[in-house]
Amino acid sequence: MKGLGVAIGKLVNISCKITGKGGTSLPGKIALMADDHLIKKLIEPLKENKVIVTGTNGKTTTSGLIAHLLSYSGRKVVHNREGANMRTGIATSLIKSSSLTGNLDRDAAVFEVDEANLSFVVNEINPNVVVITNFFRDQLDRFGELDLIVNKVKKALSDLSKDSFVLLNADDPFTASIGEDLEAKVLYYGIEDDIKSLKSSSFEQKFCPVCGTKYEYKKIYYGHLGNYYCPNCGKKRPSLDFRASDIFLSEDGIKFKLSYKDKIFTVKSNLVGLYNVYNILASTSAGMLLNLDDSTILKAVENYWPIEGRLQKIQIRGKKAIINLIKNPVGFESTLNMLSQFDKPLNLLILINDNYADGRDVSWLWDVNLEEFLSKAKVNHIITSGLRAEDMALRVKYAGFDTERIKIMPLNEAVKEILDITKEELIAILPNYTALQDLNKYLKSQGALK
Amino acid sequence: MKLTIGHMYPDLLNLYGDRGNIIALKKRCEWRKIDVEIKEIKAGINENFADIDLLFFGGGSDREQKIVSEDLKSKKKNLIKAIEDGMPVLAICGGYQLLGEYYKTLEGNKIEGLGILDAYTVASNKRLIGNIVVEAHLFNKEFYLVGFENHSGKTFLRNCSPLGTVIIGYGNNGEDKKEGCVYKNVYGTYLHGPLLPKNPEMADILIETALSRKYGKINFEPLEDSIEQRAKEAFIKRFMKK
Repeated sequence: MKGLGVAIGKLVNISCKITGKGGTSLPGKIALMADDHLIKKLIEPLKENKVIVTGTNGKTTTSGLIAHLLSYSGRKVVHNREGANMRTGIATSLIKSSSLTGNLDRDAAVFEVDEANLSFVVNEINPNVVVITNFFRDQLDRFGELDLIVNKVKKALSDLSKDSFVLLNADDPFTASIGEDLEAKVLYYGIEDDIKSLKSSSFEQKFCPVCGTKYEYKKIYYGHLGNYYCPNCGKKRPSLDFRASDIFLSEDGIKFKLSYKDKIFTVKSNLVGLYNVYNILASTSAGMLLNLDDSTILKAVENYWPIEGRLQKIQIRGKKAIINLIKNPVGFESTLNMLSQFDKPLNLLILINDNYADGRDVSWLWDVNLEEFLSKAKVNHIITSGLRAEDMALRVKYAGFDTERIKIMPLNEAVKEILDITKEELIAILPNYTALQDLNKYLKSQGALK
Repeated sequence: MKLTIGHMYPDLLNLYGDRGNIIALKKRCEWRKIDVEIKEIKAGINENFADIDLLFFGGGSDREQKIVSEDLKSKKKNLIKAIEDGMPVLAICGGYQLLGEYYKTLEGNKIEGLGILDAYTVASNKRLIGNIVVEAHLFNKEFYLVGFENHSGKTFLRNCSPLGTVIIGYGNNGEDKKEGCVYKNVYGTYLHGPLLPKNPEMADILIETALSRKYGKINFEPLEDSIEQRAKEAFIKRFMKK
């Protein structure tokens, strides 16, 4: 009977295309109403190459890269698009990849899954590899506190069979703690390097789950990710199965050494920033666990380019702009740190919405160390827009930025204004999640984006 | 003039951007040419509160709150003395709960509070989450407080006054339309957001109280608050319509 759900889903998909309304979740939503077991039915024939990626940051890049590794290795991949990471989005991507009679025409599946949806999806998909990137304070109003999320994720993974792999970021104490007492095979990835870390105000203090003492760090790499240990009971970061070392970062990309068992590889990528080392490390590790050919994996990583809205470089009216999604304090700060390293002065356009997918609570803006950034970088003008434009402007004001150079405007006026006032500055456009969709829609309507 | 602002357990209690409250207090003093020192008050370190002019007490997750509750036992006597002497305090969410008599967990265990506020908190299964608008009357002024609340504890007041009346949202318990609690110069509330940047009236009440307590009658100048007021107005316009 799986044909019925698929047919309904395909019908909705066609009507989405006709009406021009986004069809990344709606076909799945309607189809699941007709047949709630549709995901399981469609994916059941696929026995291998099924990957789930979850966590707060890096889901989209990591799952995109894994899908790229698989298709580069000659597999046909079903992969849910960015943001469509709830059950409805997964169902939609499966429907689009199936024949009308409900046969999945793919030999690999990679899904990024929202933390809250994980328990359903794990049961339905029965993945071969589950990757967990990290847990940061993000959208807490939607999920409750971090401890609760971690427990939920752990519970979801306890259903996995012995043959499945769970690939965990060892450098995040929360993520690493999930690996204890799982039936599935647990492997850890992490960084071992002397690279300099930048000051963050959103450092999330972690406590040893065994004795409650504050963890200490030999090295912090990014947010609260690093090499930690408990000074009281001796608990420490798990030993690394996949290790990144000798990291070299530049504006053009990343290079590092990857060690796995007795093998050492040199990994090169066009992605920038230390946080992308984690994404690349997670993806290559997953590729190796799927038994893809090592040299094919490395070649695939090397020719992978950033996704729309992730450090995307564009030209509008002859002026250079960089667009980068910011969705939580750590992501925001790492973007600011990168911008502060450019020689050019900056004009910023910050777009903040508080729709459901963004998280309704915008108080995280105050966890971003804007003070540090504004004291180091040369910023000439800041324009804020979005449903929470005023909150963002207020944050900038209290970070000590001259109010004469702050403007609050609707999106279309804000884009025009920043183009008008920009002379030799680099324009940085920083939207959060649904604000990026609004921005893309607007830029496309103006012919600035294809 | 100079104020010393005490920040209670900044490494443990730092949920939902509450750091913004410290930033707001600091900036609003600096803009008035008042020197500010932020003193971090941490677990395991003795503190007599005698040199603290204004105290901020934020919230944390259950685990961190338990650590704080234990540590407070050694600070209790001095803290109560300073509060009875008129030290202004802003306590938010977890900090607010800990100033009450107790917090009863879902399992029925009571985590002891300081008992400064005649109020108690009971854990519930449902989280009270969302945007909130409160009408407050303080110091003969009537104004709206806006913010974002996110708590599962329900607080009930006995013999003490609320900070204001809930217009939109849940407030103390989602039942009696009361939000927060006031005792002497102590203000307890569930409003994150953070509270003070968007509610400069509240920030100024705390600063002015601290200055008068320390220096007697002072000349307290208003600040240029157009972005603050614009933020608050946008919030009220958007959420009160519904």
